[in-house]
Amino acid sequence: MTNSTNDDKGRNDCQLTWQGDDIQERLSAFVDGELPADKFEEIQQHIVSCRGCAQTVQQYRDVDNQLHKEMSRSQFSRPLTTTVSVGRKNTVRELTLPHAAPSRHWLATVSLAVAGVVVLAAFASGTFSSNRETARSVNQQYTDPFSQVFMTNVVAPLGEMALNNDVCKNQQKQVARSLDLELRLLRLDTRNISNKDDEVRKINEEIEVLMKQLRQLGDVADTSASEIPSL
Amino acid sequence: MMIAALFPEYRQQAWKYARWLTGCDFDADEVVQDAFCKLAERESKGAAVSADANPAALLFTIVRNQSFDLLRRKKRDQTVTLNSIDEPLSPHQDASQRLELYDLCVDLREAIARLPQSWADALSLRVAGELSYDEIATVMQCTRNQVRTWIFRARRQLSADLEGFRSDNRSKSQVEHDK
Repeated sequence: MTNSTNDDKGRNDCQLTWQGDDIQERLSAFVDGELPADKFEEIQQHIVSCRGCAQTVQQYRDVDNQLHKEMSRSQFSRPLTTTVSVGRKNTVRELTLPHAAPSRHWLATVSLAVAGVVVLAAFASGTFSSNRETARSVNQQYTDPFSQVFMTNVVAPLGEMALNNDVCKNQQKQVARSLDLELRLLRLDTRNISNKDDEVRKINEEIEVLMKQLRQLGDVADTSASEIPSL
Repeated sequence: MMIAALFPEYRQQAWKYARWLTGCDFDADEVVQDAFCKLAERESKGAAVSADANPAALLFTIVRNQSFDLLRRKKRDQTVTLNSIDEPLSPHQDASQRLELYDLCVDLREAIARLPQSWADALSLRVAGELSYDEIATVMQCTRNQVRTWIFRARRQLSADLEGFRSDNRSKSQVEHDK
């Protein structure tokens, strides 16, 4: 191993080589834990004293962290615990939840419509009262006490409610997808163990539990039930 | 390895990898479901999902192929949608932080899109799939040394790009502050 110093545009003031190998490539493999034990130890000791190499390692870890963040934005909504052993491929059917949050959705829609009418009325009364006010009508809507109260107590909560409703619907959809997968995997299980009564009974019970959960989510359970073979 | 053991151990990584390739949560769900169903089918036919075959590599190969098939079917363009970007933005951050994070997400995706396919693929299998270099080599049907080089080049490129984005952001904020 040789050790020499250079500027390298201020990024790395150290350049190590092992038989012509690029140190930065080694550092990348080091980050992945893919070096032989002796080389790993060697780099580990080296980066304690070499600021440039430590910085490079940190940069590579930053890249991985950023990618992790990007990839972890959305996850399965809950852990899937089904065991799978055998089966055949099945086409996954799109599940929808017709009753994701009907009452809140209905309420939000009607309330927003009413709010829209009130906002328009407030806007009209404010803007047509004089020509000068017309020129700066939008700003006035938010400075006048009525509008402020209206925005704070009506528009903002309604917006939040609509947003929460969307989030809720997405979560429910994900749960339904997970359950659908579990049911399909269980169905795969049953195909090759028809001679083992105990296992069939156990799986039947699991299917029942899952169906119950699906029923709680809406009418999806009824449609899925038709696809589960009788055991 | 039985699929029963493979499923809890690798489903998250497989999903992340599929999400990376397809760019869509729901497509990733579909790809992973299909991949496990394919493995189950293989196992039921007595094909090798056994100890000598590498089950993780096999799973990720299927996920990869399924993702590419799906993309080919849909002919989906790789542009960034606002819906997919605004998920990580927390309401607890102020507007400038949210804007900065938004910019960084878009920049990162653009930087990834500029990488050669093999580099991006190797890095995603490493970061999302948490596969070893040997497993990645099996999935990508190349040598271990190629995998090591591709991952290194991808990291170096992305690291330089991220540094560039951050310094751009810093200079923009400085200009705004001076105004």
